[in-house]
This record gives sequence, structure tokens and C-alpha cells, in this order.
Amino acid sequence: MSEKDELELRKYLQANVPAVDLDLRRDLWADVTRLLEKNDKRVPWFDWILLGAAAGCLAFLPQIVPMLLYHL
Amino acid sequence: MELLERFALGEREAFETLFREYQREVFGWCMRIVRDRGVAEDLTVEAFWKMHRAHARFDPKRSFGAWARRIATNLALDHLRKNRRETPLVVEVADLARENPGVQRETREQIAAAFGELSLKLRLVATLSLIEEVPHRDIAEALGISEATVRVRLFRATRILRNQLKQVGA
Repeated sequence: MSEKDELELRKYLQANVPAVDLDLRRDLWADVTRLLEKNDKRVPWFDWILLGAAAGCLAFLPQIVPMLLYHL
Repeated sequence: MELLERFALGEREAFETLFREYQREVFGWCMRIVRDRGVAEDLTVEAFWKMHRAHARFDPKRSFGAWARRIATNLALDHLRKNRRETPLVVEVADLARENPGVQRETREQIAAAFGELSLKLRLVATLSLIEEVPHRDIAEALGISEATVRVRLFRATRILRNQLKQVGA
């Protein structure tokens, strides 16, 4: 396989495969901000776990409530 | 403070400025890989969203364009892996017929079939180098590999493509 072979193949492909249009026809900023806002609103999974753990503690160990209130 | 430093600190205005500066470049890069306008737009949006999320990991001393291309390449490759059957890397036969009706249908199918024989890694390097004429250095940077690896992949892809096309008499 020589450089000549590669060049031949390159020419053959370029002659037969049309170039793609690389021009961006619209501004994508609105799409990016939409995606950012959508994900900003999403609560991370570990926050849900913390919330669940706190709720579990309060439900199964109600005696800790006065202790928490005292520390607050 | 420099724009890239402000971006790395998470400043939204700096991100928007960089977006405006690089959205065309990132879109063009995605387009070269996926060759589908709608998909390239979606990938561009997702790439910038990822960049925004990863701002703290960006090193302001490095090139933002190269970093952006790398993220976009990974997303485009993921897309191609997931949609291997639906998204040929080189070209849809229907697109060829529309854009270049003079080309024989047989030739178009032969090229598509020959590229279909390549693995995704080889196809990507072959498309970017042989068809899009992207310099080896840029391909290496975007794929996170060395220029020598690009040359090896290109060599293998060229050999397979030539053999495939020779077999069908192209």
C-alpha cells in the first residue's frame, strides 16, 4: 500500500461522495439555554436519597425530633 | 480576567460568548462525522451543555476549540454506535442521488458497502481524512489518540477500502 494508492482512493472518494453542507443555518443558543434550564430544575439523585433518609429517620425514630429542635 | 478563565469559573456570560464563537465550528465538526443536519444540531447543543457542566474541569491554558471538538466527537461516536444501522458514516445513497445524479447508483452502493466493512474507528478516520481532508493532527486531537495511530488506522482503512472496491471492480 503506497501513498499513490491512498491518493488514488482519496480522489475516487472525493469525486463520488458529495461534500456536506457545514453551514449552520440557525442559532442554537435557545436550545442550549432550554437544556440548561431543564437540567438546572432537576433534583440530583443523591438529594432524593438524603431526603428519603431524613424522612425515614423522623418516621422510625420520632424521639430524635426534640433533640433536633434543641440543636436548632 | 481572561474569557477562558471566566468560563472555567462558571460565568454564564463567558459561556455564551464562547458558544457564539464556536457553535459553527462544533456544528461543522459534528456534521462531518454524522452527515445529518438535524443530528449534528442536536449533538452541538448537547456538546455545549456538557461543556457548561464540565466548566470546572477545563484548563484555561488549553485550546477551547480542541476541547469542544473532543467532547463533540465523543458524543457523535456514541450516537453512531447507538444508531449503527440507521446512520451510515459516509453517505446515504439517497443523498448522493439527490446531490449528484450523474454518479452511477452502483458506484454509490459500492462505496457505501466498502465503508460498511470498516469498524467505526476506521470509518471515522477514513471519512475525516480521505473525504473531509481534515489534517491528521486535528483528527488525533479530537479522538484523543496520537498522529501515529491516526496514520495506522488510515492505512488499515485504505487497504480494506481498496480491496473491497477492487473486488467489485470499482
